[in-house]
Amino acid sequence: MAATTIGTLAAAHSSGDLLVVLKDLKNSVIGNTWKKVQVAGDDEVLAFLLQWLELPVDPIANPASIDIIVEIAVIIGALSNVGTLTLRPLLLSQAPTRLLNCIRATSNSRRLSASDRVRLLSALLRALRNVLVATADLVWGYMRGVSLRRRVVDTGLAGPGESRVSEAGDTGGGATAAKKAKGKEVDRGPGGGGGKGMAAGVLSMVFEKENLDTLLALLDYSTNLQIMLPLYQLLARLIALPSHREALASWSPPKHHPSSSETSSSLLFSSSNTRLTGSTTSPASTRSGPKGTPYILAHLLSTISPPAPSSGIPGLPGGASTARRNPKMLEATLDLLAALLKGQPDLAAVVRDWPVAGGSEGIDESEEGFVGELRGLMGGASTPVRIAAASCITNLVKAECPAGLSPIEDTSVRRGVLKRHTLDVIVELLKGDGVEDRIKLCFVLASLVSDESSLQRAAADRGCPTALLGFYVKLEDEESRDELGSDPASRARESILLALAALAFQTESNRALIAEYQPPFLPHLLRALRHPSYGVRAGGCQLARALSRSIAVLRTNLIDSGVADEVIELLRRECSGSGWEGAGERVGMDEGVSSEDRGWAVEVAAMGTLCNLVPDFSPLRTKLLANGGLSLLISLTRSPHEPLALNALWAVKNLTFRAAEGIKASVMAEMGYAPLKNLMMPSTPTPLRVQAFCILRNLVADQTPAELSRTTEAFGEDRLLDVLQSGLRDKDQDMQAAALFTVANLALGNERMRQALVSHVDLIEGLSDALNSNSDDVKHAALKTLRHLIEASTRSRRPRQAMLELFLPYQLRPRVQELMDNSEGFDVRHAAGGLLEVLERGRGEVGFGTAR
Amino acid sequence: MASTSASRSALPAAQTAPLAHIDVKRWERAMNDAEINKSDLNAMILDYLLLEGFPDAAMEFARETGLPAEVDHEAIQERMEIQEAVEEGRVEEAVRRVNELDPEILDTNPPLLFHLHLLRLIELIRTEQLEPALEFATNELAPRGAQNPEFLADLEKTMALLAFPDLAKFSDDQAHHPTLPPATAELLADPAFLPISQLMRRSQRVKVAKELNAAILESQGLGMETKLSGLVRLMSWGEDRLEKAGLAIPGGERGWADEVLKAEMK
Repeated sequence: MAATTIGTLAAAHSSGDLLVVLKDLKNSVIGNTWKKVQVAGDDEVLAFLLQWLELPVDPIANPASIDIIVEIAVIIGALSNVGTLTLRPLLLSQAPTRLLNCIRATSNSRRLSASDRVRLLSALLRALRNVLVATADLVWGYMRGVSLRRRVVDTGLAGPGESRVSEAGDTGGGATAAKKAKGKEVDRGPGGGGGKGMAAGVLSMVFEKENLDTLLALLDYSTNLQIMLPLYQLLARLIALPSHREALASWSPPKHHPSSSETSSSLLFSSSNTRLTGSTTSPASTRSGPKGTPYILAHLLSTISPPAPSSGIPGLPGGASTARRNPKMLEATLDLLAALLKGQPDLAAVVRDWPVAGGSEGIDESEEGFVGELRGLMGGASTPVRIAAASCITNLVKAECPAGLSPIEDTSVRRGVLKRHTLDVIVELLKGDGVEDRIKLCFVLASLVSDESSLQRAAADRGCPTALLGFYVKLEDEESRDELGSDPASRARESILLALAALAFQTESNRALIAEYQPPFLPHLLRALRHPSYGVRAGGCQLARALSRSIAVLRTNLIDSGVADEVIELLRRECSGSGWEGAGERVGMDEGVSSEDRGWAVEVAAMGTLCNLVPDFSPLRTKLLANGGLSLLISLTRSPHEPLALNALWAVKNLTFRAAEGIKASVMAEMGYAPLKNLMMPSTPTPLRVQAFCILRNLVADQTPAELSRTTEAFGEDRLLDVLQSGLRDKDQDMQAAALFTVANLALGNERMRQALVSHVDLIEGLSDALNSNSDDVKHAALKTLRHLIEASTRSRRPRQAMLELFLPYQLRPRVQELMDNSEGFDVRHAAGGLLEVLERGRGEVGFGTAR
Repeated sequence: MASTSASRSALPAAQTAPLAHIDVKRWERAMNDAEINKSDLNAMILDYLLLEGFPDAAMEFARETGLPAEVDHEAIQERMEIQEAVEEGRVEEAVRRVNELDPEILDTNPPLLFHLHLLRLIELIRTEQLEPALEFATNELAPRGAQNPEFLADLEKTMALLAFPDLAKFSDDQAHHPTLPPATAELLADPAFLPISQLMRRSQRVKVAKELNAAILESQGLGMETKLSGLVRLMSWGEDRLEKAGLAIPGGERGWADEVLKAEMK
């Protein structure tokens, strides 16, 4: 087939013949996964197609060339949505660059009619969108649920003796099967190990200035649905990273751009210095109103709602009305706006202040300005638009929450009302029948209620968790009756599990509701942990994690239902073939997606759950230790994937917390002191390093002098002190606190250890400096350490004379008094009071802290 | 819609269990109190004309009523011709034309493409092109069935037409077949074979054509059906709910919405 394809293409003697062949090829690949794999996997065919992706200097003289480019763009767009089997060859052959170059040439060409230009741009943008969205899914994971495996099946009954089935997302076995099927080896180049790096590079490439200039210049075609739709969809997907959002929001048209002239809409195109780092202090240009509005934001806001004439901001001719009349366009515009607002308080402020024209259709009078407009759209007729508006409002209110404040502490009444209204709309829309709509709604709901216990309770008052549980149970019936395809069913499961996890994360009553639901839901959760889709498994882990935050649910429901055991088994299965340590095939669940594609989603989520399953009160702790779980856990602390290693270290920390000496010994026998030491070195990423310090802190806690001596000996006393000192001198306050708490525990040990600690001048200096820290945690840890060093015994509460003398130059008493009198934190005041009491007992004996 | 109005008075009262009637006066008062905005009605009619493929009438109607209308004659014409092609059994042509119109419609909707392919297989069987039918089933349908297990039931049903050629031959919409063999007549009368024989009826083509039309409309951001159809379905649902609540609509008009919906499928 593949040889025939290249043969037929090459045999076309004229542009007309070629066009006919391309149309046939297009019709054969559309909707046919296997043919897409064949075509994309054939280097010659791909090279042939891509070489035609160049606009001739004079397209008028060669009108067929436009049709040929359009057909090829359609074919490339269709090829990309299969998975890595087709995406990798497309990326290796630099299809995105060629598409971008062709878009640039089309935009700049003066030899094209308007209709040809639109036709070309539409096809090229769709192809670029498809390739890049598939790439983003590969690199960052899926936006709305992980698609279930798609089996790439050949002509089914033909060709005996050949392996004809492969997996669309598989980079290994599937690729081999595809090679076999066409009897030819494909050089996949860097695709094997560095595919993800290459893909990430392609995504960043779009945000290079020249390419952004090319793409964003197309916003001038704001009235053309065929161009704007793929462009909005492309940008909405690609601004997943804050740096990409920054690049997009800070873009302004180049000087030669017609839009940048003063006579046109100069205000819309004013350059912006908006910082997008989440800072609450925003530049005056942005805060002062629309004048400093980033170009893309002004464009979107104008498209959704024309600015008030009194604002002096020119609207986009025809743009708003087109978007208003076409729900698909409006949905895409809102989706892009929602993506742009994510975590951007400065942009959220601009949206709040956007002056909308009075009397605009769909505006909600209860809220002024653009937010009123969004509320109006949320109550409109088109469900996808309502969902997109709800998503927009969710990202807006989340972004508005002041930096450094958790949503729980956000007391804004205005935002509270808006959040509850959005919740009401989501709950109402969830009653609809559309599976895809429900999937989107679950993701929006999860985002809205995350970290907000009051909203989680409000959702429960509206019957939301119960409804979701009902939907989930119903999914199995629908799937068994063939009313629902396995792919939407799988994505629906994932989305519902994630929404339930968000609803249960901070709310005990919701955890109990899920755990006690009748008919029992936990058997469904158990099956989710064994589901072929890694998205469902990851969603299941998140829900198990949320439920395990309740001690009662953990001790009873999770243990009895087998969910807790299954999390450990799941982790074992997932890790057995992940390839980062040792070789071996992935066993157990194989949904046809490589570990590279999966992005460690399941392992990270399962390990997050395990953190809650191993504390001292958990019955799972013994089971984990007995069944080789400890070895697995420790091996994961060495994972190259940082979030996984972090969760594993966190779990080890929980495992060693208040643990018996035997458990601590088992942990260290498995882990080894040298690796722990390495993790505590400055070269380790700070979050991991903090956890490593916490593990040491737990290890030395409550140790007898003899046990402590063994620990310090195993670690190496000098090395230990150096490491502690470097932790204390770190800029990160979490790091400082973790180091100080470790010193505090060591100080409770034996005299020799205390002497070793205080003989380290830098360490004592660091301890003194910590009292001046602006972090309550650090001050608390320092006060505790000092008390442990100075206090002879908790019974007598008398100070050690030698220590009092040692700390004399540091003027501790007035400083500690100051902390007790003026600190805001209770812990600091309490610790300061305790230390002061000890110091007072030594008063007069050495004149401690008194003036000469 | 004219036929809808005509059928309204002609329909008999529902022959079901006796229902309590809603108070006629109260009903009429509620009907009279319902405010119907004329511009909403006009917009609904314009929507019907545009979606059902009457661009000239839509233009004229929009001009007379002052409604804004950007009518894309070509797009409407193409959509109607594609729908017509499916209804006339020219499925391959319809698929090619949809791919020209918007290649993403079929590429992103595997169930729709599968239904079109099934219809193509049915047409091959209808015209007794058995070799090409088998080849097509092998090359195009079998892999899709393997990829999407939920398609297999429909595929098996359609393949059964190959096993019962007479069933395929005599299952069309023609009322009487003089040459109908008794054994086939027996099969046709057997309810177990009804799902298979229905595949050969015109209603199967209409069903797939409607599905395709809805997908095209959706891709153009126009909604998947006319607002009028939606209202008729809403009315049917409302009547159903009333009936389940033990209430009957005054005047014995129950059921006309159902009849309209049935007529749409013929």
